Amino acid sequence: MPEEIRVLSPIAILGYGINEESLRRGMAMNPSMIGVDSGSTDSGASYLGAGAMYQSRKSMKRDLGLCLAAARSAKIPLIVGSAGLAGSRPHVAWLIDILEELAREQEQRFKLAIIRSDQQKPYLERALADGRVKPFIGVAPLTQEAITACGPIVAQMGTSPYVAALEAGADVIIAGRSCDSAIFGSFAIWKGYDRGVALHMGKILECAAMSAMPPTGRDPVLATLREGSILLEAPNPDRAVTPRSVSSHMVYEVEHPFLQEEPEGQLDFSAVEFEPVKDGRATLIRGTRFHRRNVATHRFEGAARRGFVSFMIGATRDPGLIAQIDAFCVGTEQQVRELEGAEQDFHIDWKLYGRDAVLGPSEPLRGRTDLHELGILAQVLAPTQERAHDVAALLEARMIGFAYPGALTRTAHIAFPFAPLVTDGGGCYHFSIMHIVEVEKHDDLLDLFPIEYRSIGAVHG
Amino acid sequence: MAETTHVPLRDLVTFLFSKNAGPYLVTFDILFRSRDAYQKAKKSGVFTAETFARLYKVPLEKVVSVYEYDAADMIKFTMIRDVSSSDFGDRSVFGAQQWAPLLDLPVPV
Repeated sequence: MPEEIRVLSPIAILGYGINEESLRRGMAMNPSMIGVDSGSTDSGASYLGAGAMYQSRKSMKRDLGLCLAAARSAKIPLIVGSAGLAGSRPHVAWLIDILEELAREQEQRFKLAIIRSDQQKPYLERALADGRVKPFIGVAPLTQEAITACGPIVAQMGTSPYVAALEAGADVIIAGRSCDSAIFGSFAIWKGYDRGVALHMGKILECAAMSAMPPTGRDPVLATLREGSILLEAPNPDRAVTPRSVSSHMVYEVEHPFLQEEPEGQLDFSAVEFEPVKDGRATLIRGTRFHRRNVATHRFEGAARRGFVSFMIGATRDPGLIAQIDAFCVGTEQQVRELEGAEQDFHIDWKLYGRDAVLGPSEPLRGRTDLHELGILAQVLAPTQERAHDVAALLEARMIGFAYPGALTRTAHIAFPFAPLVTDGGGCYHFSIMHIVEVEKHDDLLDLFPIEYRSIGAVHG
Repeated sequence: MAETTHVPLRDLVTFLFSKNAGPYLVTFDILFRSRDAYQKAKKSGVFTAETFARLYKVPLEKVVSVYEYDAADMIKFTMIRDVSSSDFGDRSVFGAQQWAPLLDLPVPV
């Protein structure tokens, strides 16, 4: 029977701002490792596509520094997965750079494992040709054209590379794109725990105290594993983990409440039981099942650029214009299209804030015209930033000058709050690859997710 | 026989929540205030794919699933987004704030 282990998740995403007092309380509970899920596809495709960073270096350094100091002083592993949100090469490199700076400042010595998740197009092309690629619900089947047009591609690693790094004696692991569950669960699997319990724990821990009441991603939770059970509690006494808080969190951001696909198989929560313990402050979870798959599958994520955007934000306080705003949008766009002549290489998108910008066609009140004020976001998509900017500038001028029936003003129809009026938004990215790839039986997972070891601080044994 | 009354869904819930389930789906968590409210909601027959398709004015096939989740007194449904997260024209990168049409859904109790 494996020894009891305690896994601490200090924060939902590294860089959100760790609560230091809660971290101290968590460390006082004697954790066996610290894990942080640093990533998500939730914030859109531009972080992967353009290699952009989600957090500032300052906030990332603060949180990583707190975790590093805590883990090194307790001599326990620190595992950070999905580094820098997207987990691709520039994100991992950025986090390593910050970590090395912190190690110098804190005078720490440790063995670092770096696990990468960047994928090559030929591998995916081969998988496509072999019929080993399936789309997620709502995603079009993968095509050769989509692979060709795609920018950076990553795959979500499972537990194998993490277990290999732990086995090699890594003190700190910085990994690229990962399954949330693997970041925490791999440690438990390495310690001999059942895969279902280990991965279930990881699923719950990845969002830190989002599983507590009141929920927050900025406070820690601690999971204690014993054979077949997970005890979940919040070190901060102002929060409690209740059966309701944790069961409702388990279905957060997923389509299916009971079944979740992992690289090595399927997690099954249909028989899970929740028991309140410690005077209702903690919850004991039992009954997780895991259905193992013969061949591993990995989620591949790739971002492609649609083009470049430029936009304006403005508003109208004219009831006459608000009543005919659709005609205004169509009319100004038409004038821009006439002026652009043969160059029709752009798209214009309107968001009318105050009417239906949030829900679009699903807005039940979209027909309302008795609004006293209406916010307008007009954005242009074009093949280059320069084209997007130029078309947006033309559109801005038409919005200011468009003559509409019953206008009480001769010009200056729109209140724009900024100058310059046009803002260049950079590349517009989408997830053109969001597919499940079955690995080949003979594939070495370490080819997909290679590990590099470094001795940080000084010569390491 | 007791007369059936209807209450708006907003009066029966602790949380109403929409969020991405990956960049192509938006998932809705309807967390009821009590076991009793949840049981009444389940029995009402209101929480169906047809209801959600009608409320959101989308074809039925865009509603990919509806689940009753007893462990949390929750009804959960998921729809395919018309624009994937952060693609041109997207209205909500996180899938946030899409739940307002549910507020006034009448539920017989």
